[in-house]
Amino acid sequence: MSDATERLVNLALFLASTRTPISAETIHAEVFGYPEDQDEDTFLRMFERDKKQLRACGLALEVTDTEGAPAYRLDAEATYAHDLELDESERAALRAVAAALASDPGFPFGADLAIAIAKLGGRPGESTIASSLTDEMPDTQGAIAALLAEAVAARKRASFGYTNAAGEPRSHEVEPYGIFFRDGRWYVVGRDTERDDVRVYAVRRMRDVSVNTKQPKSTDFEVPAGFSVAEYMLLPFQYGVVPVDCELRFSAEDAWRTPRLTGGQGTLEPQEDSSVLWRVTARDLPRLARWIALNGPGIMPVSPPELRATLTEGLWKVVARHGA
Amino acid sequence: MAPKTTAAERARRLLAILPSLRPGAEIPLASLAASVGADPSELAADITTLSMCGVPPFDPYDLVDVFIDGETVVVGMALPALDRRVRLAPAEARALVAALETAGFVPGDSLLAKIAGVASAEVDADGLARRIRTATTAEGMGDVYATIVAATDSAESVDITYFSASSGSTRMRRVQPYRVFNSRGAWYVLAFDESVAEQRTFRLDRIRDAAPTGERFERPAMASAEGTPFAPGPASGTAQVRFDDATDVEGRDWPGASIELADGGADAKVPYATTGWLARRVAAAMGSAEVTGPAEMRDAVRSLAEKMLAELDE
Repeated sequence: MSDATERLVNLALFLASTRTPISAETIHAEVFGYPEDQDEDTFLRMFERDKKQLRACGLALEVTDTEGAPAYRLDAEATYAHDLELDESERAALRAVAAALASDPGFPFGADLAIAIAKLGGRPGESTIASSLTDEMPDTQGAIAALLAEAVAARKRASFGYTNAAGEPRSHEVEPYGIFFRDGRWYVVGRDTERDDVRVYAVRRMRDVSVNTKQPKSTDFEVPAGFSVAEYMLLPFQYGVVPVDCELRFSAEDAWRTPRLTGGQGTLEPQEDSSVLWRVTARDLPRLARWIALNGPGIMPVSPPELRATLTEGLWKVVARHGA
Repeated sequence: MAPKTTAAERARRLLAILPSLRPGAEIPLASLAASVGADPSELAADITTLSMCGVPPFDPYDLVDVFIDGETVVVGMALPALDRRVRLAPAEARALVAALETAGFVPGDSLLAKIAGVASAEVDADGLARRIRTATTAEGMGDVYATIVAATDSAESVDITYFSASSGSTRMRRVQPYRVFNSRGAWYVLAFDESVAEQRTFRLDRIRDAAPTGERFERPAMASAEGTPFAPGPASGTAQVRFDDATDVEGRDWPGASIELADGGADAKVPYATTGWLARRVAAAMGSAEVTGPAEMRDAVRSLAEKMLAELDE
């Protein structure tokens, strides 16, 4: 008796080998793996599932109308890739990310990554590269992030229990718009259906995550036009209530660090003296003062005056506590 | 127990390796299995299944002519179909983009553009960028990553311009990269710094630029493939740090530290290799943390804070 793997491979090979579109009836009769005594409805359901699986493998199926019935074959142009021309450093980069992340439980797409590299004709490095993308519950975070990524792609609602930073547990239903990763932690951005507000939730604080499986062929929600998950990747000092417009100056020597430190938040304006002025909205000035001290030297507060005062006051406290 | 691999997943793996099965090829089973992230014994079973697959009428010449000989996958005749590389499916493109973003390849990078060119038409690269983000940098630094990993592979020394968080200065160094690793999404390279004749760990997003020198080096035998961003050397010390508020301190931010909660605050013993890094961390606490010893560490914190105050006055 054949198994489903054999049937799927046989179907893929048949569709790829035929020049003329073939009917479902012919497929049922010719492809080894579909039971001969299977009734038509059962076969068609199985065939639908199989077509979906082949599409998930990257195969594009062309459907034509032949004498009033659909007929199928592989769309070669849409299926086959041209050779990817990479230089040695690009090949090394692909090998390295695969060797590190394909087997990292904190990376939610390890299996897909391995297949992708294989399809590009690459091989992971000879030895595994040490990788701990997430240092807290990597298996749990990776599995939940994978589940939520599928919910994002399928636009299906997700439900979960959540303990916020204050330690308060609560249940949430969210329309997940996107996911992001920062500093070893995965986050999901979505509209909380009860609060009717777009929020950011840390995956590590979730439990009992489930995705709506009802009506799998339809979506549960629309993502607002213009949504970009990057806009929710706030810096530590951007969480809070009252927004304050701030300006910071990166010295000419440290200007090159601005894109790496500012994470796309705010605007960067190069100055005539080669320094860079960063305009950014903060909601927590003491935290911004800490951020400046942590990421310096070469970063100076320009405005508002309260920011400079907060930083100065904090540094005097440091001096006082570490006096001789 | 690892979850059972589904039939669909097994089929996907087999379809992915088909183009590698050139007529007459002999491929190590372990290598082929690793290429699709499979266990060799699992892939061996799948290869056996594959040998029974083919196209109608399923005569011997219509089947995939492949078998396992010991630890080798042996290919006979040409495949009946699907012997060319197939485009990346949406989930595969998503995985590759997410992985490369962690390494500093951001939308607009040429490597990502090349990958988009071999992805299925169903892949919406712009939509993907709006929905999933693993990059923390606004500007790409994939060229630095690619240069460092290529030099690591080929054992070639590299000139890097590096910002040291310990000294707060940026300068050029010639390093021999031994291995790269990832921790909390940040990439590091363990390397021999020729300018100070010491082994050091460099964070890749603090490298402004990197250029291979063409000089080869002999890689020393490494005791372990493990990677850690913090590896104190023999001259390291341990600082005692008092935090006023325990909620201000997360153990993950103080590598190697032992932390005990006390009176609403926390007492930590923090190992350090040089005073610069720890002094900056404590100074950034804005007076809510205090180094209680040793004296050199207290002096380093005070000096740094005084220097920052002087800069604010300029």
